Amino acid sequence: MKRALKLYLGAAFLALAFVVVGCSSGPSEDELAQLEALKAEVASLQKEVNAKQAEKEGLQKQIADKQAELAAAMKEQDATRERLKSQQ
Amino acid sequence: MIKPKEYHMNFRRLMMLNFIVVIVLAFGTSLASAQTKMTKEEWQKQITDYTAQRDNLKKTLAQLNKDVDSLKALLASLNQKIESTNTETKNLTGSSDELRKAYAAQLAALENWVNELARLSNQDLYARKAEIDSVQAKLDDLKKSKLAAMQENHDRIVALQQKIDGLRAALAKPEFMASLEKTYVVGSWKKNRDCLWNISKKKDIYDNPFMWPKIWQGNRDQIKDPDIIRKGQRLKIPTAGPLTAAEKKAEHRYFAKKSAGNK
Repeated sequence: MKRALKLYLGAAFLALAFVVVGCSSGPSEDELAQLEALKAEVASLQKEVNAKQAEKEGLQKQIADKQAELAAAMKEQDATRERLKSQQ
Repeated sequence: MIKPKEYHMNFRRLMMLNFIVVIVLAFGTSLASAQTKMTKEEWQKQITDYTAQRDNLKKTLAQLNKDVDSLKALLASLNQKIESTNTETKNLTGSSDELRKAYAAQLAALENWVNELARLSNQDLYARKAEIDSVQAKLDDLKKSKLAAMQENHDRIVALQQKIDGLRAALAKPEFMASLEKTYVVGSWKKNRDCLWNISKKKDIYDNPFMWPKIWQGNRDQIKDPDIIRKGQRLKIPTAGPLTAAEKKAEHRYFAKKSAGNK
């Protein structure tokens, strides 16, 4: 009878240990909320970075087009000067 | 009636069962809890990872903002350069907007004229071939203007000149002249009084009897003696114009032969 009681107490202790280990090693609610907020901030920043990257690429393309336009305008000006010279 | 020993045995079995149930339940609860919730270490790791990601993204964003600002500035300066270059080019000719417009209108009129000539049939083009020289003269005048040096005008002038040259080249082709040649089917002397002299005299031929050597020389393959043409012969009628040297020579030969025969 005494042995059975010891055994039962041992089992209860073991069970308590399992429960304590299972329930008390995780982060608190505040800490989880902190993690969620951090994740949301990262996602928002990623979106912003993607948008800026796209804007940068668009500007680079526009600049390439404008550089070509300027080169053509300068070429046209040189050609006009040459033609005017040959008219004189 | 249960004996005490039996009762003791049953109690022990019950306790053992209880023990197993409690252990299984506690283990299960612990395992389920461990599986659904992260550990503190995992949380810490995620916090560290996400913090590093956030810091990197902030740095990237700051750099991107800087890049975008400098690209915008570059774009604005390029736009300004293009505008000033175009203005400088316009000012090279020293012409007002009105003059430029008037010049463009003159070019457009010449373009229309040349396009009209290009659409004509060969017969009509030949009849209006003098207009090609008129267009050329007007184009040459426009070429003398400073505005001709402007790229857009220059391109139009080059295109116009090519069209005029094309018309001239078409007129110079032997096939073109061949396509202009009329034909005439000889009728009978009795009914139509057809001879080279009379054919040449017809309104729709040369309206001039003295042009008969033109028909003779144009049909040397089928007319040996200009006094003899047969009913049903299809004669080519060369393009109108003064007699050529060869035609005049043939005419003189004919009259010389004829007068020698009469003597």
